[in-house]
Amino acid sequence: MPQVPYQPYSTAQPSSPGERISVNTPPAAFGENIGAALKQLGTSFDQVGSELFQRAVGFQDIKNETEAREADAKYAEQQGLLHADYTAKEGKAAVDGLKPYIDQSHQLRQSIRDNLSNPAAQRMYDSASLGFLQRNIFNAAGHAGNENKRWVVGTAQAKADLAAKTMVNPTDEEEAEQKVQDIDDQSHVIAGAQNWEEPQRQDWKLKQTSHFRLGQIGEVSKTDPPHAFQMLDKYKEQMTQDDFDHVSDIVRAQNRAIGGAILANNIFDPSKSLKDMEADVEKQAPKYAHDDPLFAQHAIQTLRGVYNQKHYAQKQEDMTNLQTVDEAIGKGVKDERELRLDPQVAAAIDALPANKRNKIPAAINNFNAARLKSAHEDNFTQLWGMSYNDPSSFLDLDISAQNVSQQQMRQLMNRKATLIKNPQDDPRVARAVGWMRASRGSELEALGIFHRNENNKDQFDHFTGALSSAIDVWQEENKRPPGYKDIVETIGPQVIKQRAGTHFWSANRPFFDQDVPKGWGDDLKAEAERRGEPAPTDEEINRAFVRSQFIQLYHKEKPSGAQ
Amino acid sequence: MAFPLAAAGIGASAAGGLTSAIGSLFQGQAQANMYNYQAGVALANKTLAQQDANYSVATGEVEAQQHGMRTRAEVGATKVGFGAGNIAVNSGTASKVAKSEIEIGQQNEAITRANAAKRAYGFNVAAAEDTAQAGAYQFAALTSTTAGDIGAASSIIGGAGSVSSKFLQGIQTGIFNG
Repeated sequence: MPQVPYQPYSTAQPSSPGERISVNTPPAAFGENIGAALKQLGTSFDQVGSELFQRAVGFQDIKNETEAREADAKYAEQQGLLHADYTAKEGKAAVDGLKPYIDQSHQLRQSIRDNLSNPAAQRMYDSASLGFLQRNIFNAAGHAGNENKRWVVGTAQAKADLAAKTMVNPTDEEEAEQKVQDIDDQSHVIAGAQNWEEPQRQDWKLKQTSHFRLGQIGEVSKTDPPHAFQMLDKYKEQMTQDDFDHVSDIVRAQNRAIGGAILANNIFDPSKSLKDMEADVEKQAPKYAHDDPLFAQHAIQTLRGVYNQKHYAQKQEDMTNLQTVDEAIGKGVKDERELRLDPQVAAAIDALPANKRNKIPAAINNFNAARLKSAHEDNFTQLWGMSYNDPSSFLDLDISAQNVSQQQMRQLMNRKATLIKNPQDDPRVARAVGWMRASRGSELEALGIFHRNENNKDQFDHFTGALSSAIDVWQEENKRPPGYKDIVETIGPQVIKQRAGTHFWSANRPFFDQDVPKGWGDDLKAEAERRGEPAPTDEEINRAFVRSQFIQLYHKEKPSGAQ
Repeated sequence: MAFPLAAAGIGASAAGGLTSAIGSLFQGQAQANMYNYQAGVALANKTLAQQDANYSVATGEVEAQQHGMRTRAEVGATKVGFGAGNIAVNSGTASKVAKSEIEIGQQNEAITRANAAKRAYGFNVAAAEDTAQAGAYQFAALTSTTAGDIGAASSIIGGAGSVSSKFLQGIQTGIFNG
């Protein structure tokens, strides 16, 4: 059957619905990433800040550490001084000083700590200084403990020693027993301090008691050796063997000394011979010896001593009297009569044996002669030295008034003459010429004697020679050296004064230039010849003449009554 | 030497705290903006889904109409066939066949409409989802702002803590004691 291409219904299908909007919305599209970045930036800032700050802290740590170390060193130094001061203390002072020392140590550490700039430095300082402080305190405590023990032991020992040394009456048994009891008490104290066992305490007690008994018996033996022997027997058990032997020796020695002396004095009789008395000693010695084999020998020696003593005493008395007399002579007396003016010396003279008393006048003379000689020698030596060291002063001296022997006086005059022999070397003349030049220069110039030269040397020498003689004579007459005024107003003008010649036709000539009268020097030459000395020269004769003129002149000028 | 470094460090820490605070605020605001945007997209999708639901119902009606037309065409063809075979179409077997075809056609139309309704329902559900999603995004925008504020406060507090810590450490170590 044929088919018509006809579709009687629609075939188109409606499309399916379900469309949706789908948008990708990343947070960055809204700036969320910027916010995250800002947060990260903030975090970075914080990290950087933290890092910088930690570096700053690091720097500060170094500074703090340095500061703390310096403070620690300072503390160690001052604490060391404090510790040294404390450890130098001993005994009770160390015990009493411990608490103050600890307080001072704390204060010292704290004061240094308070000066630190910040808590971190203080913490570092604490870590070092606290340990040091603790060690110091520990050490100081040990020192205090030891010193406490020493103090206790030392005190107890001192009490025991004191007990042994402070006995009022060594024969008082009650007092002695009390001392022994004291020693026993102290032994307990020391044993407690030293942690001793009983045997150690007993040993210490024995030694101390023995020491005490040694002193006690020794003391008794000084006055009562027999009683000391009894005590030795009684207290033997309380003594060590060494002390017992020692005190036995002491008692025996004392017995020899005291008992021997008693025996010797009892037996001594000036009317008996020494030999007889020694025999008596040997006979009676056993009664006093207490079995001492040396006693008799010792008593004999004592007897000889007593015997010699009697003779020695007489000699000693003579020597004392002689010494008294010699001392009196030494003070300066003329004779024995003057010596006896002192009653003590007179008694000493009278007590001397005749042979010695007769020698006293000679001793006075010898002493005085020796003393005078010694004084002359001293003066002469001084003047002789002066003539060399200070000739001007020496020439000013009056030799005749010096305290020297006649022989020494002649020596000094010769020395003076030697010094003034050459007037130009005479310091007095040089000084006088100087004054004359200053005050009377024109007159000296007119006379041609202002200076010495080849043309006027004789004239000038006459002038100075005359001036020397004039000064010498003036000084002898006036008993003092001339001064400036004396030279320029008196002596100098006289020396240069013009005098008329011996004849009317003679010209006027100055005083220093006078002719010596004929035959005037003959006596001088004869005297020199008689003494065996060289004959004086014309110049010496001239000076002697001028000198005589001045003597005449000054003697005449002296006022009446002058010496 | 220590003091300038310490001062710079503290300054940097302070700046870091402030910068972090600003970053937190900025980040919170950006996230809020993003969530608001996404909420807007969700609301748009909600509208689209609602429109799809309507469209789906309309599409189902068209398909049902097509099924009606096809059924009627088949019933006509069947009657033509029976008529060509001289079989009475309004009675007997032919009538039953036509009736059956009509019933099948009606069932197909009903199923088609049902399917369309089902699709429309799915779109409505999607629209509801989009509405809910938009609400969630809007809330997220709010919380982001709050989170930014909190973050900023945290940064400020942290910065202040860091600065004060450094300052105290500086005093303790003596950096600021001269």
